[in-house]
Formats: sequence, C-alpha cells, structure tokens
Amino acid sequence: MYPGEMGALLTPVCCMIILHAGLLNDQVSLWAEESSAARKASVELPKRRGGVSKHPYSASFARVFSAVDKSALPSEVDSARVSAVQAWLPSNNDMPIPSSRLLWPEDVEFPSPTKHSAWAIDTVTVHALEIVSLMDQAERGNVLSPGVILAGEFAYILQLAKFASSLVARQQYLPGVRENGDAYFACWKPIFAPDDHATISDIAQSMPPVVRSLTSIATSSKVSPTASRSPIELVSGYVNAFVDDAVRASASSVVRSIYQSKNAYLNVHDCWVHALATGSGRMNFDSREIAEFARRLDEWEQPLLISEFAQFRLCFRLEEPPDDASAGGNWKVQYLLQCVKDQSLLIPAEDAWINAGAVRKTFDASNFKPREQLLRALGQASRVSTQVEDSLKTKAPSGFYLNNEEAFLFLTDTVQTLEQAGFGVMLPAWWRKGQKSKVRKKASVQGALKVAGSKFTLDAIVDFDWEMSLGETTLTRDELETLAALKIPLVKIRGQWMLVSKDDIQQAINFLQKKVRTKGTLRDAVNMALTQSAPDGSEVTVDASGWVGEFLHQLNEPQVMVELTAPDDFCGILRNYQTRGYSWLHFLSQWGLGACLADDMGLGKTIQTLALIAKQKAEGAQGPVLLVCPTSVVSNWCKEAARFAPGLSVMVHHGGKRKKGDSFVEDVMHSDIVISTYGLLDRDLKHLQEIAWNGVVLDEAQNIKNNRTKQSIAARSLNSRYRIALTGTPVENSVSDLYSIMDFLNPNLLGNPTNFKGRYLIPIQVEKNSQAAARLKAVTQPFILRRLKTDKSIITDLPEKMEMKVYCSLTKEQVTLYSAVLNELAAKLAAGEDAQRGGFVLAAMSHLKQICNHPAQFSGDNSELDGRSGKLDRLVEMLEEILRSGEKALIFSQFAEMGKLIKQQLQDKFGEEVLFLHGGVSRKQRDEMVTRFQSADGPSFFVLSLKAGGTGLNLTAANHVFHFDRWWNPAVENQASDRAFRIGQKRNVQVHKFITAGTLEDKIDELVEEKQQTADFIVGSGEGWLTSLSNEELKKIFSLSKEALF
Amino acid sequence: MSYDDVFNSRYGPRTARGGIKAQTARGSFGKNWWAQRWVNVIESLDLGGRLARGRVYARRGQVLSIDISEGVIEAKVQGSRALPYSVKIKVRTIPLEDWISFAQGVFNQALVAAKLLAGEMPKDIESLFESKKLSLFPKRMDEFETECSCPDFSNPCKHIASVHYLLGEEFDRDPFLIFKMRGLRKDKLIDLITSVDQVIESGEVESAPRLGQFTESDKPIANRGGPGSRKDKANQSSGADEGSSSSGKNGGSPGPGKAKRGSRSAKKAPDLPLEDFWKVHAVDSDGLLSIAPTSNAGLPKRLGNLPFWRSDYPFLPTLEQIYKVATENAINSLAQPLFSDRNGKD
Repeated sequence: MYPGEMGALLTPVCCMIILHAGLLNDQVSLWAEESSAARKASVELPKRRGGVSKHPYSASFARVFSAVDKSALPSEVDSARVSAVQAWLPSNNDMPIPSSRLLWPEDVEFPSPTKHSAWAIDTVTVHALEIVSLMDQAERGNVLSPGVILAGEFAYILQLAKFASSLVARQQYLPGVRENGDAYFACWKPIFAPDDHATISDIAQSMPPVVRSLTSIATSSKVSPTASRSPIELVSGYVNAFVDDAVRASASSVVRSIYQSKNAYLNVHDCWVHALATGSGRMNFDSREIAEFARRLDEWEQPLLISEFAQFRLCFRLEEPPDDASAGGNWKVQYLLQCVKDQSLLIPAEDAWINAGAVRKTFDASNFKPREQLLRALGQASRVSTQVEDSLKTKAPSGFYLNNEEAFLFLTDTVQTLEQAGFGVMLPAWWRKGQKSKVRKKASVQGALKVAGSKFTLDAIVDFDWEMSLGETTLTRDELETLAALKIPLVKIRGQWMLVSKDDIQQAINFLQKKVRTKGTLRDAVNMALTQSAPDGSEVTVDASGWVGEFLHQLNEPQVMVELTAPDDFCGILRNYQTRGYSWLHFLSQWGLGACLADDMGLGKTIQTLALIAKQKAEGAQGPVLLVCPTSVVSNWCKEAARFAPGLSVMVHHGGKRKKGDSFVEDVMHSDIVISTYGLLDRDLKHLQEIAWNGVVLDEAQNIKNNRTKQSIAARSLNSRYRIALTGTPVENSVSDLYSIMDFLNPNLLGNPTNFKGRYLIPIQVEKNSQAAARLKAVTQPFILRRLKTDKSIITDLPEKMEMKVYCSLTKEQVTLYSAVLNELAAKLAAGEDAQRGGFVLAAMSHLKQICNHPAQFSGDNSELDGRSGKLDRLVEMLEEILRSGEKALIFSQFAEMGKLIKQQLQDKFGEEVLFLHGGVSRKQRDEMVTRFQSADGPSFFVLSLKAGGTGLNLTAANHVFHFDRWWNPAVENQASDRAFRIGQKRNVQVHKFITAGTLEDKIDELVEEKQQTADFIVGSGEGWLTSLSNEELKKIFSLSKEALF
Repeated sequence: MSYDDVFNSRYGPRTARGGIKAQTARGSFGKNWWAQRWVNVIESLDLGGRLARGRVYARRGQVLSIDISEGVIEAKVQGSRALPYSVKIKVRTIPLEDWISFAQGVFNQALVAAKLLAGEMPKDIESLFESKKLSLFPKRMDEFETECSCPDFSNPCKHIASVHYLLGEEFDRDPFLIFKMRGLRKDKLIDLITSVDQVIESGEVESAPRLGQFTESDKPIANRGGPGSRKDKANQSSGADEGSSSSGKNGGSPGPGKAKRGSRSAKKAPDLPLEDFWKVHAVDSDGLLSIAPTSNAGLPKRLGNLPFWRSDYPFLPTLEQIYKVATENAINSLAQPLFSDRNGKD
C-alpha cells in the first residue's frame, strides 16, 4: 500500500488568504492577501507597469469570491461587484508589507515600512445585508473557513454595520429624493438623533487606517485618482448607503403587496414609492415634476430638521404634591429646557423666558433662541395636551397643575404622546415606564415531613401559602378591596406613590378567594423560585421553609452542598474541588435536574463525571448512562473509565460494526456507561430513544449550541432521568448558546424559543438590557458550575505541574493505512531475510508512528489536513479552548515534517501566526521567535521539534505543553516540558501527552509504565531494542487492539 | 344651462393622468376651521352645478398642478379639451406695515405665536386681525380676481372651483400657505412674531428699521436654529420658498461630513500613519444599540401627509407598513441568528 492509493481522499492544499475590508464609494470593499503569492513575492520584486503597480500578492477577485461565497456572496462571480482600486499600504523597497506574518516566509526577515505606496488590487463590493451575515461569522472568531482569515478591521466594520442597523431598527430615517448628475433617485436617508452624532464621531475617530486606505483608480493613468475622504465622510457615506439598502430591501415586499400587479405609474408619487422599493431607486419621470416634488419633500421635513438640530429641547417634569400639603395638594408639571448633549443641564422655563445673565450666556453659546423654540415646542405640545394649551394663555407660562385624576391621565396617556413627539419627560423615580406596581404574590412553601430514608423527587407535593403585597407592603384582603374600589388607581401607600392595576388587584382578590393552588409540586416551586414568576407570568416571591427551603438554598449556593465521599471502588483520588463538583452533580442529578459542568481544561471534568456514575451505581441506580462525545475523545473516555472506575462496564457504540436492534438493547442493559458520538446521536436516534437512560452526559456540549441542529434536537428527545453537559467553553458568554444547552438540561426552564427570544434574547443582545441579563443569570446560575484554574480555591488544590495522557482515536483512513503497513511487514518477515529484519522493523515502526500522527505525514503529499487524524483534530479542539482563555501552549513533535503540518493546520484554523522551531532555523531567528513568544501580545502557539527545542530555551509564557508524539523517554520529555515549567513560571503547567489508543503508541507507553521502575533498557537506547523482539512479541506491540477499531 | 354644459357635457372631461387627488373621499374639503372658512367663500356663491362638478374634478385628479406664490395662485386643470386650462387666482396682499402691526399684537399672547410656530392657525387670530382692522381671509369673492382659459362664461367656473377646493385641503395641512398667499412667507412670518417680542422687550419699540430689514434680507430659517452642517439644505428650501422653479434637491443625509463634501481635497493619498497601520482598536459597543421604537413610523407621522398626494394608495399607511417590516428585519439581524434556519456546522 502506497500513499498514492489513498488519492480519493486527498485534495490539494489551499494557501492561506487574509480578507481585508475597506470603505470606498459608500460600500464595503473586500480584498485579500494570499500567502503563496507572498512567498514568491518576497524574492521577486513586483513589476512596475506605468501608473500604479499591481499588488504582488493580493488575491484576484475570483479568489475573493471563492473564499467567501459560502457565507455571504452569491457563489457566482458577479462582474458588477468587481473593480480594480488602489490601496495605500505601508511599503518598503517597492514592496507592500503584509498585514500579518502569517503570510511571510519564516526564513525571510520581516520587513518594516518606510513609506506608503499605492498598489492596484482587485476588490469585491459587499452589500449591507451580506456584511451582516459575513460578520455573523466574524463574531465567532476570525476564521471564516479553514485558511480564510478575516483581518482585524472586520470587527470595526461590524460595529459600523451594527450602528447603521440600529438606526433602521429605531426607525431613524425618512424617505427622500437624491439628485445625482441628471438623474433623480428615491432614497431612504438616516435622520440622526442627538446621541447619534456623538456615536458617529466616536466611530469615525477609531477608524483603523487600513479601512480608509482605498482610493479608486482613474481611468486614464495621467489623471489623479479621486480624492480620499476623511473618516467622518466615509462613515456617514457608508451609514447613508446602508440605511438606504436595508430599508429598500424591506420596502420591496411591502410595496409589491400594496401595488400588486400594477407596475405602471401615472404620477410622480407612485413613481417615487416604486423607486423607494426597487433596485437603484432611479426615478423615471418628468424631471421638472420630480424637482418640484423634491422641493415639497424638503418643505415637508423642515419642522423635523429644525427641532432635530436644536441644542435644547422642551422637557416636562412631573413633580409629586408636596408632603405637607393638605388633601388639596396638587401635582405640578414644570416646563424646562433640557440640553440635548448634557441632559442634566435643565433650565426652568421661567428663566428661559427672561433669558438674562448666565442663562442667556448658555443659550447664546449654542446659538439657541429660547423664546422661539419654547413657543414652537409648546405650540406642538398643545396639540396633544389641553393643559399645555390652557397654560399658554399667560404671557410666560412655566407649567401647570394637576389633581390626582389628571396626574393619572398625564402619566398613563399624555406622557407617551409627548415622548413620541420628541419631548423630554421626567417622571418620579418610582414610576417605571408604563408599568404598574404589580401585586406581588408571595408563596410560602413547605414540604411534607420528610420520612427518614425516603427519596424525594421534583414531583413531590408541597404546600403553598399565599400572601399579597404591593411594593414593600403586605396587604390584607380588606386593604385589597379598598384599593379595588378606588376611582383613580394612583395611590400613596406608606409614603410611596404608586400606580396600581385594578385588574391586577381584582385578580389577587379572586386568587385569595378561591384559595387555589394550595398544593403543587416541588418542580413548580423550583421554577417559580428561580424565574420569580408564576406560569401565567405574574411576579412571585417564593419563601420556602423546612427541607424545601434547604433544597432551594442548596440550589442557589453550591458551596453549602454536603460533600460526598468518593465511591468505594473508585481508583483515583479526588481533589477537593473535584469532590465539591462531583457532589454538586450528584445533588442535581438526584433531583432529576440538569447540570452544566464548565470547569477549565485540565481540572478533571471526566473524573468528576466518572465518580458520579460510579456513586450512582453503588447506590443502586436504574439504567445505564449515555455519554455522547466527539469521535476524537472516545478512546480517552474508555481509558479514563478503565483507570478510575474499573467497576463500571463500558460499551462503545461507534463505528461500522456497532450493534443495532435487540442486540443493541441487550448490550446496553448490561452496561453502566454507553459511549457514543455526536454523529450517531441523530443517525441512531431510533435505537437510543428506546432506552430509559438513567442519565445522558454530553461531553464538549458546545456541539449543541445551536438548538436547531439535528444533534441538538436528538439530544433533547432522549428519555433520561437526568442530564449533564460538560464543556470547557464559557457557555454563558453567548445568550443563544446558553439557551440551547439549558433547553437540553432543563427543558421549559427558559420557555420555548419564541418566549425566550422576547424575554431574554432581544432585550440582552439587541437592547443591552442589563436587568434581563441579570434575570437570565439568576435563572441559569444554579445549573452551571464553572471553576477556573486561576481561582484561589482551585489553585491551592492543584500541583504546579500536572501530567495528563490524552488518548486519541484513529480515523478509518488511519486504520486502513496502519493495517496495510502491518501486513506488508508480516509478509516481509515471513519471507525471512534475517539480515534485513532489523531494517524492516524500524522502517515499519517509523511508518506506523507517522500514520498515528497524520496520514499526510506518512504520504508526504501536502494533502488536506482536516478530519483525517484523531490526534490533530483533538489538538485543534484543545488549543481552541486554550486560545479562548488567552493562554499559550508549546507543541512538541519529534518529526519536523509533522511540526510543519501542525503549524499549517493551526494557522488555517485559528487565523493566527504559529511559530515553528526546527533544525533549520538560525540562532538569530530562534532568539527572535522566543522573544516574540514570550511577549504578551506575541503568538499563542509555538510548535517545536523535540531535537531543536527540547533543551535550553525559556518559554514560560506557555502554561500548556503538548507532546504530539512520544519519545518514550521520560527524561527527554520532561526536559522538553521544562521549557515552560521553570523559574519564572507563575501558573500551573499542564502537560498533555498524546497517545493513539490501541496502537503501538499505547502499548509501548504501557511497557514504559510497567518497566520504568525496574529497568530503563527500553528508553535508554532509543528504539533499537525493538529489533531484538521475537515476531510474536512484535505482533503484540504493533497490532491494533480492539480499542483502535471502534 | 351654460355654454360649457351645452357643448361639452356629453363628452365630459378627458381622463387626467397623474393629477392631484383630493385626500377626502367625501364630505367637505378642509377639516380645520380656517380651511373651512376658505371653502365657504366659494360655496356662498350661487354657482349651481359647477360646485359639484368642481368637487368631482378635485377628487378625480383633473387638477394637474397648483403653484402658490405671494398674491397669485396658478393651476392647470384637465378639462374636455386636449390642452389643460390655465387657472389663475389673484388675492390682494397685505402690506408689510400691517403685518408688523399684527405681530405686535401677538406679543402678549403666547398661544397665538406658539400655535403659529407649530404650524397651526390659532383661533384667536381673527380677532387679532380685526382689532387691527385687518382680515386674513378674503371674505367675499370680490377680494379675488379669478380667471380660467376655458370657454365657460361663468366666473368662477368648475375648474376654478376644483382648484379652490384643493387649496382648502392644502391650507388644512399647512396654514402658512394662507400667509404666503397674502404676501408673507413662512420664514418672514416666524421672524416677525418671534423677534418682535425681543425688540419690544428691550425697549426698542421705535426701531422700525430693524423690523423693516425683513423685507430686504431673506433670512433662511435654519440659519437661526440649526448648526452649520444643515446650511446648504436650509438655503435650498428657503430658495424654493420663493416660488422659483429651481430644482430643489435632496442632498442625502444632513449628517456630519456633509458640509465638507463640496470642498474637494486635492490630495491623492489618504493621510495614513505608518505605525499601527493594521491595528484595530476596540470600539465600545454598549449604548450603540439601545433600541426602543415606542411607536411605529414616528418620524413621518410627526411630519404628516405629503402635499398634493397623487397616488391611489395613501402615503402614511404605506410608510407604516414599510417601517414595521424594516424594524423587524433589522432587529433580527442584530440579534444572533439563534432561531434562523441556518444549519449548524457540526
């Protein structure tokens, strides 16, 4: 078997491409740099052909299209979007300097810029909505797809697009007509609210230089290109175009449905409405008529523009009746002029009318005419309020008085109208926008007496005792009746004004009358306590006593949890925090509640989970536990289970030969743990659903962060007593990820998707409502346990250096190649040329190690890297977590070729530069790499060949060390690990040793472990000892064991 | 039986394309009292069937254009002949000194000035005019001079009536047009009623020259209220106010940067730093997105209907639908696509 035979699996490797974004002609233009071209360019100077030289390593438009088509652009090359422009880039010696070292050959010194030069590049324009969908990916990292990197400025463009989008969402725009040359265009144009001006100027000020480095190329080389524009011009140009684009897209469906088939228009107005909803917006009509219409439009929006640009606005302040006043005490509405930019600057109308002294200075400074503006604003307000109108009968009105009933009307009705009309309104602090003080139901919950030894579940019946309160005040039934009888629901209760809802009060009375719901389940109580609301949405406080209270208390404060002892036959020692974590899992699962264990990598989520399962078995739990994980960690789970909880019987449900039907059910019923993978979750769902699982555990639960994927749907549909999610990624950072995982763990806790969207997602994500965020946290917090390595309580529990074996699986391709090499060796040994025997064995051994690393290392053919090696995939998964937590890692391999492949794959996957030290690197370059790695903003990952980097260097910036393949000599490996673990290291160091399960790597590792104490004959002398083994012994070591063949 | 009726009635008017359509489908033209007052003038005449046909013309869109300037209203009306008829209505203008006298009367009544500034005709305005022995509204038809190029011997004819009715609707929308018709443009009126107060307040009642200056300098409105960035726009509209046929254009957004656009910088290259060229500083995104659309299509609703709307489909309801859909789409694009139909990648 030769590498070429695997041809079908191999696709040529693409070079890396870095996408850039610039603003030109009010649109975002994409362009790109390519790594392969950069390598070439570093040795050849670009050719200068008159005018502007072509950028030597920019990507062609076709390449840009193919790099992004899947995510944003239509897949076909659209020539209308393509243009050649010039980019003014930092350059040196007639050579543009790449934006990132990722593009630069490692063996050529990275140049520094001396000046800006213009370079001709291909650009592709992207429209407003496409940018949003492209950005959607950018938010998840800077890699669009492997090898396609979004440059840093995309984050900036995203910000800009979001701002423009928010203008549309807030409806800050008007329809208009734009004149361009001889033609007229219907357009939607933004109207900026006062705060928007400040935002725009902030955004303009922080514009990265690269965003404004593009200018268009004049058609003739003699004519100078269009003048460049300032950041603020670029930003407002873009925002205008974005708003126009976005509203136009929405308008098209509306206009189509209104006008239906009617396409012809007889008048300029129909023409305009059509143009507002279509393509370019060009209006085909008599130009004099359009001009006249445009003039009228200008007049039409005039009033708005006057008030929009005023520095002060009229503000109405409602003041409570003074405390000491008798029953006749009245509310006052005070007129004020409020400075738009500094809303705390308020000038009472009395002073504004007189307009003298300091007040006059203030107004004059902002060129504001208080009398005119006050009159105009009051005139407008008089349309919505007769009280305002009445107040105008005096010469210099400063406000008006209201009785209780009028104040009520003012608060509930007039206020909204005034606000919508753009006036400022200031209301007493107790008044929450449109919200009535709700009668709060308080449920005192008490469980039945707990019988010793009996077990409670969430379905246990508990007693509810109800009490009603308003604000801080508990109300008796009589008091409620009195409130219900009030004519005006604006009341002062114990010194506090509040608006009550009569319906609400009546409902509370009815509730008490019927004495409903004096019994319920513990589940009801838990839901009410966490969400602070009843199923009907009304607010509820739960006050629980007895064991129910204890239960709720424990739920909210995991630190008061009773700590369990380790299960009897457990073979590991749990660290303190692991005991706490495992007890917490046990507590929640006992009650059938779902738990998300989100500890940092290396803190032992696996061991805590295994302890839980073992404990439950000892307690006589019914049914097996289903453990779903990525393919790359199946072996690791098997190994860890065997090591820590040998008493558990483990079944792996994976691979082509997996069981189905009855034999599947039978096997499952004899197992304690069934390990399967995400891929099978959906494919074998029918079988998995047949089992009544005791628990379902999802490892790397971020796999179900999108609740619409098949895996997520399948996971939720499993029948299980409890559910656990394990993840090292902080799920709470993304509202939607959190929802998906919670929906799996505790269905209904956060409501259905529509409810969740309205209650949490939109308020948190779009409106940045911190209360909603706090509410979400309160509801979910009892079910998430996340500990960081850096937590004080954890650090003391951890050794300074932790060594962990990471067992990886072989892919099908690896198994095939591995077997082929073994067969070849067997044939050669059978042929029996003793003289060559040693050579055969060592060659085979080397090939097998290469195959375990990666088929592409074995074949050396530069083929695709993704998804073909269990080890490499696992490495990427683990490094992703490390990258996210801002840590750094060293990756050792004994093969320089593998190091190169690792570097390439990591760069493609993470879009960040990865350092690679091998024998060919000069001393000077090596020192430079070390310095860069050690600096805070230097690269995160350093790949080293064991020979070149195993000794001498000081790389304490890393706190993770990976041994991608094994030297089987602990001394050599330790020496390498000590690059990170040495003086200067302030954190705990984790050493991850990769072993491919069931292969020679696995077996030699076992040998080393067994014999290490007695002799070091193996390790001392390299791999020569292998040749002295008998055929039978060799077979034992080389052959694949069951674990490799899932 | 009029001449027109005898010779043309069996043919009826030609179908007008794209004419101005009255927004009221039935009932009286002009909801507000001042518009009603205007309509009453023509309805008080004994015009027989011409009034009814005038209303039909106004509703069917036979009136092709109306142009209001100081003292004169000109219109084109599609009748039964190929060429539209020209209608002209002349109204006597009120001299400046009378306007000044009116403005002084406004001083002690915040209500009158406030309502006017807010674009509404104050009820007390008539008594104010009367106290100065003036009249804002032409009371009888003999205060007008009307003419139409149609062959009807009756003046006013149905074409004049249809224009008169549409004007009623227009005055409803924008009472300033009445002032304009009587010789005082909106910007001048505003200057007059707001500044006269200051003049009186500061004891400069005698300084007639200061008042007089409004006849000479046509101060654009927004020069007083708005910042510089709006300047070119304000100039346009004040120019348009003078009734010139200059093409008013809508120069995109009044946003920042607009002012600079005209000044073409001669620089070829952008002014860029060499250091940190690729560096992106984080922008604080909080506060960018506070979204609270309290009412739908608030901005256009505040501005009201467009003048002389000619479409069969009403203006504001169409906009309301568009605003609603656009907001939904924008909010969805801002929220993460949790519930979008995109498939997961795993």
